[in-house]
Amino acid sequence: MKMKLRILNNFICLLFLVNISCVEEIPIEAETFESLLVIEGIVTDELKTQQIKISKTYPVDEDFPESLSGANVRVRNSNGSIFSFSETSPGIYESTDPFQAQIGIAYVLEVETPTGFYESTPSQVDGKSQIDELKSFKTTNNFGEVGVGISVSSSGAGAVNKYYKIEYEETYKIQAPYWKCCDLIIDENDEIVSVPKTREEYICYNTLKSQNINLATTNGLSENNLDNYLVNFISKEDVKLAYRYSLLVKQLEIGEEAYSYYETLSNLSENESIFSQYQPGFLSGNIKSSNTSENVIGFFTVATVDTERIFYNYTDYFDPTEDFRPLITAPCDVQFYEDKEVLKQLIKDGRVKYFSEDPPGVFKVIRPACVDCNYFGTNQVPEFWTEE
Amino acid sequence: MKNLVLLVLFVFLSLSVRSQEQTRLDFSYADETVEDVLLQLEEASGLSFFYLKNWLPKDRFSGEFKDAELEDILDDLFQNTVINYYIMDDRVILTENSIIYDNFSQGFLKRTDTSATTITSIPTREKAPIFYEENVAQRRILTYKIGRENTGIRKRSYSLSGNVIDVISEEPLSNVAILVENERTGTATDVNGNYTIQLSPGEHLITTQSLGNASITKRVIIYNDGSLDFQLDQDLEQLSEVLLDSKSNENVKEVFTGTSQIDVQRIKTIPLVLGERDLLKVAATLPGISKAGEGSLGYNVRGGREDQNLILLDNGLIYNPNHFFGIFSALNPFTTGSVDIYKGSIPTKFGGRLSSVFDIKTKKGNPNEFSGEGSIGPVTGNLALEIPIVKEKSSLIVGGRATYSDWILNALDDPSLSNSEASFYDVIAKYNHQFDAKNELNATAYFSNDQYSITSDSLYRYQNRMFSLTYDRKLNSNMDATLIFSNSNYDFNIDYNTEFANSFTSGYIIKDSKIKLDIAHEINKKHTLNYGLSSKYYVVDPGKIEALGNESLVVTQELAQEKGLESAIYFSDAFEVNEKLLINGGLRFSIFNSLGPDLVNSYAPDSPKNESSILSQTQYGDNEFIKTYSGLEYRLAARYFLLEDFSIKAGYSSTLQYIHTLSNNTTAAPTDIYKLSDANIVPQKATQYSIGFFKNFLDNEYELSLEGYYKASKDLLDFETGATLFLNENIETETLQGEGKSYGAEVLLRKNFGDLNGWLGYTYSRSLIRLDSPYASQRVNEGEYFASNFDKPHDFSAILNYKLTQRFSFSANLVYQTGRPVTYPIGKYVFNNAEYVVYSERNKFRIPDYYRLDLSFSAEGNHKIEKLAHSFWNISVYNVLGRNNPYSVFFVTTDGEVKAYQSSVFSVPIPTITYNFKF
Repeated sequence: MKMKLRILNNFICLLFLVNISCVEEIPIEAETFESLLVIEGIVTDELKTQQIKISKTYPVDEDFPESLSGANVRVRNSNGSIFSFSETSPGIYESTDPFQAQIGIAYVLEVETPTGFYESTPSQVDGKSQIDELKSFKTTNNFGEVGVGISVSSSGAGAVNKYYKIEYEETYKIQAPYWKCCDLIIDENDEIVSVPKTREEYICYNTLKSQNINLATTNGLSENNLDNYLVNFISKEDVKLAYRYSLLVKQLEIGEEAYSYYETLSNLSENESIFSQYQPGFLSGNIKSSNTSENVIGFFTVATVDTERIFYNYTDYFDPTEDFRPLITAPCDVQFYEDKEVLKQLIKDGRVKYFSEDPPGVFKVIRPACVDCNYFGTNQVPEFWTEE
Repeated sequence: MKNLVLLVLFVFLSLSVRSQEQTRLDFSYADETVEDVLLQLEEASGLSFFYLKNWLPKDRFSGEFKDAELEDILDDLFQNTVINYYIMDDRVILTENSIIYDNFSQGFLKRTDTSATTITSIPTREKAPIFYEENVAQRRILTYKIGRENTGIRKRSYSLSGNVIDVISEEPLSNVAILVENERTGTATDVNGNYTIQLSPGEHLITTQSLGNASITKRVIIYNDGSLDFQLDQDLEQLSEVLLDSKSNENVKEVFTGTSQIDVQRIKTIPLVLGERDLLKVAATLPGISKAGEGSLGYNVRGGREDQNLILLDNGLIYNPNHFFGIFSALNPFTTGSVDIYKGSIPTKFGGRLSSVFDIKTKKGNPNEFSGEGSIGPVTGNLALEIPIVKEKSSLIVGGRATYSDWILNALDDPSLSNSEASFYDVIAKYNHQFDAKNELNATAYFSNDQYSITSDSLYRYQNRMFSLTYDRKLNSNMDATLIFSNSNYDFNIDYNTEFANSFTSGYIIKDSKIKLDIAHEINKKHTLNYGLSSKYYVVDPGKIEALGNESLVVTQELAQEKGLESAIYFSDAFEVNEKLLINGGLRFSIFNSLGPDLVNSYAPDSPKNESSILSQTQYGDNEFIKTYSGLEYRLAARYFLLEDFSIKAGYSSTLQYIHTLSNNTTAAPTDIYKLSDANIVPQKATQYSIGFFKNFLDNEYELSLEGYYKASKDLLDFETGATLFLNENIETETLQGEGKSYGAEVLLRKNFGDLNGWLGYTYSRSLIRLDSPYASQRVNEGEYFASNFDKPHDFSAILNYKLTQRFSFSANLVYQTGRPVTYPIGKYVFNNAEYVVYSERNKFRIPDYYRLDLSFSAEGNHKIEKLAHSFWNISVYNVLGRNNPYSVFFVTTDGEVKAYQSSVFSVPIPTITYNFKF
């Protein structure tokens, strides 16, 4: 999205051969604030502890969502079963027992808070689609950037149109710019000494959940299959690509109503053309207050899920001797401090780390991020991680 | 009494004046002083003019002549002045008040040589005597001496005879009354336009009166038998044309409120963005006409939506007269002759749109000589040619304009931009054929094309196509008939091309064919009728999508064609109750038939329209009437003169609109779909009340007007948040139909001539909408009135032109507007691991106010006759102050975080140079 805006910006400005800023970010000011209830829940066909999130809206110039505690949450289905939920952390409600959504059965979410009672319209899913293939390939995106794309192909059962929300979780390997043996500490004699590192600081991993709304449908296609739907694209300048990258694709099959809700949410949160803007307005979901006309934000839906994981390496697509690997951090200048007291203070503050010791007792130091990958991820190897 | 002395001194034999062999020439001038015109004329004709500077009026005039005699040019130039002229070989002598005659009494000739021409006649300038017709109020009464004074016996009466012809057609006029004022005598012309009347010696006032022609009063002094011919102008009112004469009291006199005219010649120096002369942009500087923003398509007239304007080019409908998101208009400025805008009371002959009519007429080509005009600017090149086909009978005018911005984009290194494109062109051709004085045919063909892509995988294209035929026939001196046929087409395409299986091409087309017969009929001096009928057949292909490329799995989907027939019959009478009061009242009955084939849903009446509330479906056959809407539209306008140059006008008009654009954007876009009314979407209706005061000062040099209006509309189309409009078979399930009201006061001060001229306009207006429904999802802002997307209460514009010398001039354009309303979020929330904003009440906030100053400087080449082409350079700077005027404010979720952005279209000063030439 950011990319799109930048390009648009250039496009318009260059069209008229004037270097002007046509789209600029402005600070958000809170004009008015209205506190509304936000309910988010997707119950899947995986047998697991299902989760419902309840929060409240917060002012546009603040950063922290306000979770809503103390609600009674339950899910009913058309067979008469009731699944109760309990709050496990503020605003997060998990089913007391694991359960799974069943195909062809309607589910309703009920939420009771001190101020009201809220209920969703029934939601059901009628099929389950399999991911046939996840594929990575070198490509160029719309804006002319070279990188690696991942596409999904899947086949849907039955003749009805399929609606998908595709979520993913990306995990990538991080390598600190330098491998070093040691750390610097101040010993009991108030001397700077080097000691071997006690933890892995060279290779780490970071995992991110998808934040954008990825939707796909077979509505309007001649087959009920998704064929090479582009899930994600990473530019070769992106550090995620630098060593080894893995993507877990979670394909949720949802109903048409849920699909159009997410589609509108996505339309309202992006800007395709600076000349014409989508008319903003309140987006009604499928959750309503049973006793008041209060607006409630959010959507409750059931979904069938299929997941698939893929790995690839930078070297699968690029030659590091020609296309240099993107750096996790820069600059990484080696520093030397004559004044030991200054150096001690920097070490105590955690502002420098060991780089070299030559001659013994004379240390060169560097910015910690250049020798410790934990700044960017975790040194714990994920369970699913495989090398080659 | 010096005049009388002169009168006594010189005696005349004849009235025939100014007869001399003349070379014919092409000549035009726009908004120039008489002196400037004379200087140019000297160069063009090789003649020398003799005059005293202080005789010349300071007024500015415009005129255009093809293959005209010098006398025609001078007659026109001096018609409203007190200057007379005499042509002698290569010299032209001007006189103030007096006429130089070249026939003298014998005795006189004996005494002098020919070069000693003498002042002889004494026209007197009179201030509008009561027996004058209004439209000749400014005209002088010329005095003519008839016959040679006989020193012998004086008879009781002498006979005056002569011939009366129409000045334009040069046809003799029969049945013209020749009346002698205050003497109860008179006669009428015969079939050949001849008359004879007996008059006593001495002074008489003779007035002509006829239907369809203006009256003329002449003062005669009878000395003997003699002759006096009359050349009558056609009556301005009967033609019901709005003259763009720079010195006219038309604004005070005209019966309709809320009319605006754009003088195409005069806008040539007004600074405009990127050097493009733009008629519609100039229109937007007039009160009551505005745009939502710099990058929005279309115009909002008196609080109406963009789709409520009827834009006619030579009587044919243009659906989208805009290029590149409305930054340029798609009308060629070189071929356009006039633009008349009706925003208040709309004449009955127009209908089908609620807010306004833009009646744009293309120039007629020069039937005698080849000529051309062109411009080279930073964005486009433009060339217009006038080509004679049959001398003095038929001509062709063609104009073409194209961008070169596409080449610029392609030449850039940036790969993301070299794949982008934005280009447009438009071409127009008009053929005029004058069969004879009574029959005229005009044919116009127009085409415009826009193409742009913002990301490399999508390509947008849209096109206007229009063809019109207009046949004018003068049935008799009181009746003019016009037969119009037109065909218009608008279509857009969106191509989406990816490496994956979802590439598609999609499109939309609307076509209409119209036939109309219009008759202007002057019954008598008091009643002028206008009546006619029209019918328009629409065919809409509302949407189609199909696979692009072999790999694509996209299945072809096409919505059923929509068809409709919109017909109207209308009648109006301009009734001149007395000299002061003119009433134009009329009725228009319009009827719309929604035609099959179609499968029509009927919905349960007491629930929101959605798939589950469909009660039944009915299949209609081809051309079967699905639904018929009709209505009587009332149009009433009245003008009353409070003073000679001060009038009050009032208007009431009701309008119906059977076609709607579907848009869920805040501003209009080229991909908005036009939808016809059908079984589930009712027509829009509006009524407008308007009142205005019009005053001219200083001999029409200044015009001041104050107008107020109140407009109420019903059944305006809007949509639920997130409605899908394209390829939606059941669009009615997502539409809302609400009410609108708008009101405002408009002030316009205009200085029409002088070295400094231009106008100042200020409007205070509001435009409000209410979308109410028993169902919460179909209610916006709790069902209360809220500001529309283009509600800008304060709107001030100033356009000033200053002519430094004959060749150099400056122009300035200042605009101030209240910022337009936007929907601002009331909070944020986290959903799907990312932040989103929540919007509540629509259009509750406003973006900052808009203001802009543009300047331009024009330098004309000299007017040497030998020069191949006349040229003129225009240097203009748009947005001199560099004001970063926000166009919109929007909120985007990027990497899980909400960010606010402000966009502006032209945020820094934009200088441009345009070269214009004429040959």
